[in-house]
Amino acid sequence: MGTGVIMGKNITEDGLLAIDKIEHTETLEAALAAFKVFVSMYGFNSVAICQLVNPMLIDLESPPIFITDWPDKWKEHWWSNDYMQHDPIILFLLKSRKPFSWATAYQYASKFGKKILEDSRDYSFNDGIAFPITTGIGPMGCVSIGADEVPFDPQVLAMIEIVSINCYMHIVKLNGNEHEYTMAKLSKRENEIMHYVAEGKTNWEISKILGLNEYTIKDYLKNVACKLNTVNRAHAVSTAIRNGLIIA
Amino acid sequence: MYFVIKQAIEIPEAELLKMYRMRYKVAVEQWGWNIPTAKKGLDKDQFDTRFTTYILVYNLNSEMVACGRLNPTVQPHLLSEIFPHQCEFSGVPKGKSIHEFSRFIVDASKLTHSQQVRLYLLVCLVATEYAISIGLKQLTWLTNKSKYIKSIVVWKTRPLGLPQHYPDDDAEYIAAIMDTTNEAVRRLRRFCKLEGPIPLSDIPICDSAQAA
Repeated sequence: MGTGVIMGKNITEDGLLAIDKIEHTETLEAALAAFKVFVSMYGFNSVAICQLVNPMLIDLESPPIFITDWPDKWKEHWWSNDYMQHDPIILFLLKSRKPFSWATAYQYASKFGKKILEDSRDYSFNDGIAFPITTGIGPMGCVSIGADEVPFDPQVLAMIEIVSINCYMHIVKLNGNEHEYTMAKLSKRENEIMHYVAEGKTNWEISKILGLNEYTIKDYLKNVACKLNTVNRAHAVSTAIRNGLIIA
Repeated sequence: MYFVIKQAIEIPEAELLKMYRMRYKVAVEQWGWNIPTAKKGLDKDQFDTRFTTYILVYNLNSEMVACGRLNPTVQPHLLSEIFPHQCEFSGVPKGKSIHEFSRFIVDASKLTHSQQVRLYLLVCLVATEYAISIGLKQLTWLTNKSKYIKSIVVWKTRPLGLPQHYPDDDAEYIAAIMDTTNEAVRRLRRFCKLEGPIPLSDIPICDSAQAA
């Protein structure tokens, strides 16, 4: 049993051992380092792990994860130039459910996106592969690893993908951002408004009680519907009560 | 919601039929699974046996909204008979303290997305609490990548082999083994905002009466 020896190494043993080591780490940095030890055995020389969130839908207990082993200079350049909004790897991630190479992302990049990847070559980011972490509702994050030349052995990439998934989820657990499983919290004001909605008050009545414009109340309720994924007022009230967000 | 966990022999035939029908509707018609044994609107296979334990979930209208199947791995089960190639790392795990979890179906047509997420977690919780109560240490399952990711959040999860692509379903499946621990129960209760075990019910009476 077991997958074969590749590049003089046993990818199965290495991968399972890496998962164990990663899951014994207690900080994001230590998890990243343990993952890097594994991928570097297969020719990869950089790691970035990022969490994608829609701030409209999710209240995170801590900021979204974005950890890398990038050189400080590149990190600073990347952030200060707002590359997050334009990085072709992040943009391609939004439409791909399968692993893709940086070269593929480059092909579909805008002019500015291409420039980002070209700039990155000054820091020895020549090629790489990104593993989207997707659940039924879309991408939740990504593990992107760089190499001078991506090894195209499907067994190696499949095992790296599994280790990436386990590593990503461990990091999410460490960071306390398991948002996929926790319903977004309502803000204090949204909570207050939902209490009045649950009491059967109209938007106009709530606006008078709180001294706000009726349209503002409508906007708050739109946000609540979005957070709770509900279709109408009654649905929002019952969902909020059922999930303990407001007390009936 | 009513959560029922019973062995096959304790469940009325009418309820089993409802479950087979729901499994067919969701797995075959909605998910497009290619199950050779599924026919005439029923998904029933050779692993629905007298050794099988079922988790059945009913809503307050006594409609079945979710189900799951637990099979002892010392008996023939999906991984041992149909998908042993998915366990290439070190073979199909078998043992008295390991059960296979399969046919985990939530009928999305009756639920909103947030209800589905919550119900998914509640079924995981009830399965884990039950597993611990009968002395199980681990559950195995064959799942798609998306559910593998979710399982890591819940349980300590290990792959049993590399993901494999099934062109008929256009999906990648991976076999995994999860530890059923008190830590997993604590995590699930936290996600579900529950402080104690999920109370188990009998099959809702009016529903059985209607079926009869």
